[in-house]
Amino acid sequence: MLRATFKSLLSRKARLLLSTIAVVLGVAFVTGSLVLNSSLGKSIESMFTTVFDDVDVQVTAERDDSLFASATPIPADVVERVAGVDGVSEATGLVSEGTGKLRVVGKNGKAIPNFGAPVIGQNFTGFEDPMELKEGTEPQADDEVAVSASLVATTGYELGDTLPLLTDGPEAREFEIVGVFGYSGGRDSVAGEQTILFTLEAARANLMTVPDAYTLIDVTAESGTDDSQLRDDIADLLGSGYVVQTGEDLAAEQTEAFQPFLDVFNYLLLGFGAVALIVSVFLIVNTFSIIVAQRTRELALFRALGAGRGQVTGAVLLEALIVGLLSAVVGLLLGIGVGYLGTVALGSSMGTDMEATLVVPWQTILAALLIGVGVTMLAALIPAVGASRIPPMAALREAANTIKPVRWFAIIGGILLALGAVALFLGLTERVGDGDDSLLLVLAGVGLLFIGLAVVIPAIAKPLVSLIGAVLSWSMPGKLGRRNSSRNPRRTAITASALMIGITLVTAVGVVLSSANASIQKFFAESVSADVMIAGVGTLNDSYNVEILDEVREMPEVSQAAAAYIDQAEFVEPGTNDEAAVLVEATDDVTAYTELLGITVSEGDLSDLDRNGLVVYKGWAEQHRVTVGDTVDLRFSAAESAAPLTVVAVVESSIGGEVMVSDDHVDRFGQPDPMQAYITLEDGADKPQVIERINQLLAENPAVTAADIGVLNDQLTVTFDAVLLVVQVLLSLAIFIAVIGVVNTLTLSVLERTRELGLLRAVGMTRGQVTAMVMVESVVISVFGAVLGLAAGAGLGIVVQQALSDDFLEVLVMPWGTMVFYLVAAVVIGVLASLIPAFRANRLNVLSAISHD
Amino acid sequence: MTTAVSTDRGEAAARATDVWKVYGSGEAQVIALRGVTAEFTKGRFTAIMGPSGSGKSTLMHCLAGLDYTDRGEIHIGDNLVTGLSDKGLTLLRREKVGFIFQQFNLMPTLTAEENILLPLSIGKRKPDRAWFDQVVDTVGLRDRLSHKPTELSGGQQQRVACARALVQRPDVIFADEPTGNLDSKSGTEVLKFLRRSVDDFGQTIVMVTHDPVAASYADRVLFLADGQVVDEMFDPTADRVLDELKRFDEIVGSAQGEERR
Ligand SMILES: Nc1ncnc2c1ncn2[C@@H]1O[C@H](COP(=O)(O)OP(=O)(O)O)[C@@H](O)[C@H]1O
Ligand SMILES: [Mg+2]
Repeated sequence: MLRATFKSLLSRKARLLLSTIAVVLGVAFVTGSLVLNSSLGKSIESMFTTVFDDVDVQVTAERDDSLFASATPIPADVVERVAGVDGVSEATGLVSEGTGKLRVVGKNGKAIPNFGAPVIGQNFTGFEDPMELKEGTEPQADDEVAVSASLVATTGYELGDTLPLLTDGPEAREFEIVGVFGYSGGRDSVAGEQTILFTLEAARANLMTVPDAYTLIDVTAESGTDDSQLRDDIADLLGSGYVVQTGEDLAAEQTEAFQPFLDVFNYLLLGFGAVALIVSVFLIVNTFSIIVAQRTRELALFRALGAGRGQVTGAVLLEALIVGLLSAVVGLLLGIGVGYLGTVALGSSMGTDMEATLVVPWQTILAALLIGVGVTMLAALIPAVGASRIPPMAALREAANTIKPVRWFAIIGGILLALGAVALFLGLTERVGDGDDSLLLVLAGVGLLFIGLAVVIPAIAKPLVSLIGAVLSWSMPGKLGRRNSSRNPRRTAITASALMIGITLVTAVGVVLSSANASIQKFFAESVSADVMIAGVGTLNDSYNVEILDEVREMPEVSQAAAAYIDQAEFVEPGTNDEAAVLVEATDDVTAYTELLGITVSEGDLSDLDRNGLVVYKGWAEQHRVTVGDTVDLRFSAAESAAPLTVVAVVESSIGGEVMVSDDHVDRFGQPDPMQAYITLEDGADKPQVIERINQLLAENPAVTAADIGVLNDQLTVTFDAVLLVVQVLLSLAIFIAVIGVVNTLTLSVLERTRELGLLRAVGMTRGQVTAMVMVESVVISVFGAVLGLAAGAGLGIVVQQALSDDFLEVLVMPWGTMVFYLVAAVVIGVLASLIPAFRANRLNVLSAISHD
Repeated sequence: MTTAVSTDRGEAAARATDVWKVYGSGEAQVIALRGVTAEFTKGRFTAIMGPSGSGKSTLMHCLAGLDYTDRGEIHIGDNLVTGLSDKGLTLLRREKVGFIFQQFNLMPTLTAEENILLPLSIGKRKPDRAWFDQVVDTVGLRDRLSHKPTELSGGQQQRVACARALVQRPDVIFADEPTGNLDSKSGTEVLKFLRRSVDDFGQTIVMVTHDPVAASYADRVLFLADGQVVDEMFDPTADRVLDELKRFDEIVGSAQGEERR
């Protein structure tokens, strides 16, 4: 039996290859995700280890929680106290800032957005190893800086140039670049960061606001001193209010900060890997079913010669085991390669000089084996059991390709569909209750509908396929291809289902995204009447001079303008002692602001908003049980103590906010300048021209730009398009596997129909016509899959939209364009998938096909 | 042994001139045809007989443009078959040649009617309705036209195959043991039908057979042995054919004996 299995495997190399490809790709995707995740984690860790290599111990003051808070200053005398600790060789007070508040203004006059490695500002303490001065000298005057070579490379400013920097406040300050430095080994930076070195005074003036203080203390240990011991000693000395960390601690902290991102990334990839694997299961089930069907005689002969049922099942499963093992190994190797390349690509796209390290956790190898072998064996189980049912008599019968009844599929699928519909109905209608439960029900319903659909498809395959084929059967080859595709409904159904899965998911995502897009546009159109918006790229120190808004208001084309100040304040939850954060807004023109943003008053009076007043948004008011007349204590980011404010009004807005205060408070905001502005124009104003002029007024405010409010929409649309693209790319693997399924099914079918092909060729069918026949069958199958996927995906998308229609998916919009594209793509896929089987069909010898010995 | 050159009166519907066919090479080389020359006159029914492995099927395949010859020439009517490309051969088979195989003659997905019209529809030719009706009535399949092959008996299936071959009015019909898989009653029906299509419609038929009774329906029998035409017989009867075959076994037997020596 063993020998027979091996022989049968080797004699059908093409078949072996086809059935392994699906598993290989599935395994590669999963192991690739795991390897990528571990390698990326390890690479990030070693990058930070390099960064903090020279740090023995570092002291910082405990930070305020608020997003807008700046680093807590460390008084100068603390440095001396630290220097006195046993084991400290040197304690240097440093002024350092790397949280994104320091930005370089580019040559176009606007702040350079910085999403990768940070821009670090620091006081100059000497070019010590591993730093190396490359050109110029050290900064001596307070308007002089030395910059890292990486900054020169990124921004284009060079030695001797004036470097405009956005440090504190809305306007840029100018410095002269007097020195450019690098690091040992010819490096431009340690890990991609851009560093700017100031004199101590300049650093204090620009990076913090307190004189005679530092933001951190860099401690060098005496040789032979244990870093963690020293850390604990210093911590004991300083007591609470300070954070003392070794270089290792810092590296770990920074690495950990990346973990949530890595996790999300990993789950995402694994999710798509799972989809790819599910599709592979369809493919393997189909391949093995066809193989068993074609080997009916061979297997029946085994049985006739005395092989037991178990032996026949065993033979098929053994074949699956071999295919699974082979695929697991190849998939693992491929996955490791993909994971490594992914690490390299992501490292460089993050804008850091990260060196990619390859890590293959043993779990990956285990996963590859489990998935590869497990999935293949499981998928082969049904065909294997089917094989054991072949009666020995079948060996004597003529090609016993009896088609199994599809009635059972209809019944089971129908039950599953009904259950899914019920779950879905309950989930959707009971939404008023617990949101989590109903969402879970919706998801379960969707899952059941999905499985039900997959099961019921064989039953509906025949009529549906005939219908699709009717379009293509204008010629005899077309007619034959169409009939062939509905010959074995189960085979066609499984092949098409594999394609359906991928198309369902991309369609569903497409429906949700296009609905989200339309809903947001509708929301903007209804609630926001502003025409123009002033805003930055979204960092915390985006700001502009509020006086500019007065000049804007004076422009004849402008009807209204309102500034938006933003802070994160702390308040004590009424009735408890718990401190919580609250988002605070303020504006210089409450009337214009509420009008432009579609804010309506539901209780109280906005005109009562004075220095002691507070306006709360309805959602926040309900959540914290406050109402007009109540008092709330708020402490703004830059305030020493809390101010008691009385609620004067409760307002409603679809944009959603938390609280609003009078603009009397803005000088105690972490960002005392306005961050945004909303502007409406008079009817008939030349919008682009007005925007152009506002931007001229903002010339000295590099952090912000004025733009058509529609641009916001476009930005969202771009984001949605990007999400859709990522989903499409990741699911294209699942679709690719499904295409292999089509190729595989057709190739095997063609081999099964050798005699028919011979007959057709004998009676005068040309090779072109044979190709057309196979192509029609292929296109019918893939269009069938696409139609199912489009229908299921549209259904799924509509369900999600309905379920979330109260939240943010108010409008349903079908992405007709993309759906038509998928349908056309299915035709192309069908044509491409038919090339190999058609080639095989044409290569068949007419004679061997019809000879009867 | 010399090759018997077969002669007949009248125009040839198919002609083989000094045809050689070799399979394989070296040790495994088999010479299936050794310089066969034969003519098949229009409107005649010829049977090809000979022991198993004598090259009957090979000759038929070469004549019908299903296989290439290694040497010699094949004509169908005035058309030179030898040297045609795959495309040319395909068109020749579609338009000039009809086929009846021993089994597996019909496409399982097509109805009897669609099978009969298959060569025409492949070539996008309009069937001549009156002729179609005549053929269908002759083979007695009127009430079976909408049936799939699996719903037909073996004899009915072969009659569908006959109808298919005839409906396209080919220059010549090649039949390779068309009755080999049928019981004698169904076989007789098919043979009678073939005979009628020669007599009534002037069809040319070349039939390979093992069966002396089947051969007796033909106008002429060609005897093949070891890839060569060794004899022919006009207006055969089953008994004469049987005698001839017996004689033949002896010749072949002694020839093989000589070779061994
Ligand atoms: N495809 C082939 N490859 C090799 N030898 C073949 C092939 N087809 C036929 N032969 C050989 O050619 C000879 C003639 O075969 P065939 O024409 O089928 O004889 P018949 O039909 O008279 O029984 C036989 O010896 C047979 O083994
Ligand atoms: Mg033969």
